[in-house]
Amino acid sequence: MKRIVSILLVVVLGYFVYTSLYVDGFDMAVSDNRQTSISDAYITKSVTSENESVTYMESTDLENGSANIVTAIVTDYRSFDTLGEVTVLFLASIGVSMVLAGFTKKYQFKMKTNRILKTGARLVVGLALVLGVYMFTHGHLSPGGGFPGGSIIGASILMMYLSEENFRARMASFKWMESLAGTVYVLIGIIGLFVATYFLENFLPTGTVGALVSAGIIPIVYILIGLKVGSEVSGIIDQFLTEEVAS
Amino acid sequence: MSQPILLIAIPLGLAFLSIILKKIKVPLLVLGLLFSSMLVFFIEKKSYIIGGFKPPFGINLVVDDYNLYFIIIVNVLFLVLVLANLSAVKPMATVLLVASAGLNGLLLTGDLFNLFVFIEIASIAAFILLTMDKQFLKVFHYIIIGTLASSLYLLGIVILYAQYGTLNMADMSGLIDGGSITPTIAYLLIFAGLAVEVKLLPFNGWVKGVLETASAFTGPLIGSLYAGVMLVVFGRVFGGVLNLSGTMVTSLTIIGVITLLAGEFMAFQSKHLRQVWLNSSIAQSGLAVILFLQGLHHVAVLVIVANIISKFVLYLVSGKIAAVIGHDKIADLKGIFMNKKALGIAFTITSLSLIGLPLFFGFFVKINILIALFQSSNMWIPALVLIAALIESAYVIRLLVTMWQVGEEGEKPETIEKPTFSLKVGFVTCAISIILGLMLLVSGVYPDLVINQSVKAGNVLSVNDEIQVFTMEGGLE
Repeated sequence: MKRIVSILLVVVLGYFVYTSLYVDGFDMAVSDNRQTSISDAYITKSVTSENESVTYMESTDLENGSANIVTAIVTDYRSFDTLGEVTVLFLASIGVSMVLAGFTKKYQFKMKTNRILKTGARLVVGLALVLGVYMFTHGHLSPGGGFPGGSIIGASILMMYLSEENFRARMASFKWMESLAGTVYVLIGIIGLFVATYFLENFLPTGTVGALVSAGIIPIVYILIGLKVGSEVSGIIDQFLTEEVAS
Repeated sequence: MSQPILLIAIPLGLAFLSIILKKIKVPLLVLGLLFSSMLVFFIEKKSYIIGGFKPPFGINLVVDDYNLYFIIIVNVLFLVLVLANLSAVKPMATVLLVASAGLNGLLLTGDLFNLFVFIEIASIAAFILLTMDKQFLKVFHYIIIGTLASSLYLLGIVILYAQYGTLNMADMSGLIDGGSITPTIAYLLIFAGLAVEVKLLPFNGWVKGVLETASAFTGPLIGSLYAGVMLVVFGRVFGGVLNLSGTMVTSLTIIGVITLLAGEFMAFQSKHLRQVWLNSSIAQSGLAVILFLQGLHHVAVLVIVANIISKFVLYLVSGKIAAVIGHDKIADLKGIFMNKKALGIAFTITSLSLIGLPLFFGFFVKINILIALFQSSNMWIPALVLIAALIESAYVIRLLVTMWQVGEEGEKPETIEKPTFSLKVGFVTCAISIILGLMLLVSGVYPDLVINQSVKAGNVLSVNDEIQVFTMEGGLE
């Protein structure tokens, strides 16, 4: 009975959300629709400057040099939100390590690993690490970025934990990486405040759209996020795969 | 450089740093909070752009008459609270820095999605801090309901964004006023999302479990500072951005009224000290929500200020009593203040101010609530608010009598047994309670300054020329 009621509630809620979004003329709620004008400004990179269009590998010195529009919004136009989301993951990782504090011995799975699994895992882990690093260093050019790149690094660490019985990652170095990446992210923001005018302002030259070294602070920020997410996810995995030492 | 962004960036940066500098994380915490509580006095009122893109394209922080004084109160009290519990906070230093950044972000942000990010940061920090009380299952309930609430809020923002194409609060407010469609479902989702943190009635199941066992540290933090900040956010969103009207206002006001009455009734029936205050907090939140929904923003601001300060003292003292005596059952605390009179007097001033006795700040809060309500709405809301105030006075006075009086009424002094326990509470707790109690007393004698500020604050949300307030000098102006 409970289930039927909850399904009904979800359906009713869904109906209301759908009608409020997709009835005829919902986008006529206001005479000048901000959604188009704001999105257009993000796409043509003309928030602070008049700019007709952006051409790959040709346009230079735009207000935002990222070829990937999602990255442009996430790490430049709304970079402050991203700093907040990074903090959310940071808190989650602290919370896990506080609740599971004292769990030091690695958890032993019932199933034993074998040579084929170990060798295969080592091959894949190397490739996955490279893919993760590639993803967050090219976040301003291709799909992906710091969060998926960092998660791939975390996944490869998980693979090592699952395939090798005695593998333990060096958590101390992950802590250093996590802490430094976060601090430098905030520092970049504060440098923007003092060197330029605003917190988290892109104070480096943005270069040519599409070049590897371009977009000012965006690739730096994404590399920091990638390292931070990678070390936090690895830390959480390490906590979950350990158990209390029986005394 | 008095940039309000530093109130968020510096604690956040120090929090990240404190992971590797484990040995000095408490000094880092104190340093960060000290910096924030000094910086707040130098901030100017204007809109601050972040990232170099003007709103609505980028995110901005707003400092105006509405939030400036709350920023000062919250930062200073946060520092005071941490200093008073310095030995207890060591394992939580990093989380506390993030919590401070989160609360400042909630007060400052001028962007609806950015507000969601800070709701997440502040509430996750609260979940972790509450594990200090070792009530893991109850914190887990709070985690589930809190996360669900922030998702509902997010869903509401998604719908508003789809309809209006902006996330900036000021921009959204202008568009909603000029728009033709009322996004009812979005309003309801946002209301439900915020109602969990604001502790309105169907959504406040988590409060009892969490605050019933709160210590002298988590009690003031969650029961006073977090509660106050969330009410300020509620006022900003429902008073300043969303433009409610008609049936919507009536039905949401009814939720507020039910919360107020139920909260006071439950407080009346509570047998434990902290239970009384948590139910009274629920009632006060209901009251502030009623006032915001009725458009009486200036009195809502007064309610929030009075509630932050009085609940801070009450939770602090109650938490200490529970820690020293081992429980907080009111019937077993007879005459507890007899050998700690200074603390007792501060506690008494605070609770008398809560019920609105003349001479105390609470009196001006109560009388301005009633004046504003009688002038603006039909009679049933002020009548119910008056009933709630009567219930409140009854249980607070009953409680004070118990805590001061040894023995039964009419009993001869010789036959009375002296209380066997002694209330050993540190000097710091006493000093904080006395200073805050005196502040309530002084602002009760000279209320004009605070009331004028609250009128200015209310005007930020709604320009209303005909506000009538009751002050000491002018009477009804």
